[in-house]
Amino acid sequence: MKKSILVTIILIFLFAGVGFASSNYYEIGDQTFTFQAGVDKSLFLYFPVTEDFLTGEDTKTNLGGYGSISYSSFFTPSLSLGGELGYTFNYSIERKLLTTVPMLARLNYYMVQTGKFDLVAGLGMGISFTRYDENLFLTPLIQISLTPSYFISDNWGFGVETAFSTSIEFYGSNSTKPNDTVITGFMPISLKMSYRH
Amino acid sequence: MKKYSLLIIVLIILVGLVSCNSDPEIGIYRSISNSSEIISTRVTQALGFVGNKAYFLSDDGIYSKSEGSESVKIVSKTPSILSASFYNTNLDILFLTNTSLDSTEVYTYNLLDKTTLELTDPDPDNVTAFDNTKLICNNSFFITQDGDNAIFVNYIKDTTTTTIKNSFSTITTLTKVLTSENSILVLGKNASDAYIAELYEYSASTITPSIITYKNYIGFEYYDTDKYLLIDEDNEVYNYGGTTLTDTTHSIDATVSDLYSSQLASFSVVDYVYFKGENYFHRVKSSDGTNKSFILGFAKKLQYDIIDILLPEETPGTFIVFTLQSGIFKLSQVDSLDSSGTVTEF
Repeated sequence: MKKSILVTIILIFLFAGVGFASSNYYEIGDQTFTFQAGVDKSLFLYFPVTEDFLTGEDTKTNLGGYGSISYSSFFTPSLSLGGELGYTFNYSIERKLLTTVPMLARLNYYMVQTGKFDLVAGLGMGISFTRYDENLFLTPLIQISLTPSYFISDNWGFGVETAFSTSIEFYGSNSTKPNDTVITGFMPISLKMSYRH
Repeated sequence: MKKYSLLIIVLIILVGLVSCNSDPEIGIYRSISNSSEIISTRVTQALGFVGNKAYFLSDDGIYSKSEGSESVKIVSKTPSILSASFYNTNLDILFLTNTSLDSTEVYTYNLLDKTTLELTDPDPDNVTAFDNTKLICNNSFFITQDGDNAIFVNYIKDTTTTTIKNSFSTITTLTKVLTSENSILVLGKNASDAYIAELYEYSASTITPSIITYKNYIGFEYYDTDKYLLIDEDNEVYNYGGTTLTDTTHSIDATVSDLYSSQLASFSVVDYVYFKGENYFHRVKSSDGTNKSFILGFAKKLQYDIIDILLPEETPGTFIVFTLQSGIFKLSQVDSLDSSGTVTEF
């Protein structure tokens, strides 16, 4: 039952996207700037070597914050490509600060575009500088997101973005700590302000 | 060609950025997942475990704690207590305060009648260096050091203390004091800057100095009532039994060694001594110095800011783990190295 509801919702979104996409609002060359700020929640830490899968409080991080700026340009009426520079912070329960600075290339698919309302699915890929307790580590990062936005004028709009970010802190078998290789999962939820022209 | 040039440039930038990675002793997220909540009453010195209660010194006094209960302050003094130790077969806690060379006070606190008593005749001129050595007390003896760096053995009888003058004549710089059930071992340097050890045996009331090696010892633990196991900064393992120091010819594997501190948490169980490094536990066989370094099993559960680990005789198979900022933990059901056991807040 639950599965059929989920499939139905996805199909509605897809058909709606296709339906609206047939009357595109955006044109090739249009540009969008966004500013966003919100919260960042740790979902899981998975240590594949030791098979530790930590969720919830076991990730030992408190609710943190997230902010970013991005730019994108349309190369088809429903796809835009750009970049995003972000900043996240979370405190561990030891009150030490974990920060990441993600730098992503972003592909946005405008599933719905009416001029007043956009529904955008995003895929970001890039790198992230992770810093904790005087240690710095560069990790690859992938982020997927879904953003409904409402435009109050031709140029300005507001939306809520829900995203899932995953990265890997990798230590090879030659390292002294292969057991510490970890795949992370975070969920930033943010208010998004968009400017388009 | 342009496409490949761009790719190469991106790869070079990425390699450059990756080279910025620090090489932490422990993975960033592993470190986070091992962290624990900071408590308000931090442990600065573990005193012991008596009658199912853990006793510790904090910044503002001596506390006792039963499992599952809040810590209870049992002694507070102004100026603050510098160091404390159980003595008198664990019926009393000996503690010491001082604000200057001439204001040292030595007290006992009796656990049964909960009374504090100031001991008379503590020589005020020879008690200055407890921040360096910690007050280590065993069988009514404790060590003090004066402003000229001379080190003394003090003896407590009834309500008085007696100082054995010039007890350790050759050590000028004190590094570490260890006590076993039968002796006090003092490590330090002599006037020629050579590392030496001097042994005080309670029964004979004798001091036996012996020049050992020009090594800096960072790990210490006693075992088998009157023997000591030492690790130097080169990871070499030494045995000190009787009055002689023996190089076991074994050492901690340098590729996994993470023994940096001069205050390594350590404990001994039957034939082995365990030293806790930054990431690994190093298990050394006391008889021959051979070792195994590991992090799996119970050691994986003990990645806190540990300052001491006790194995109370009253609760066999249980470790009481004192941490600096995260409180006290109980590790139980440990039946082998690979058993992760159960860690609970004490």
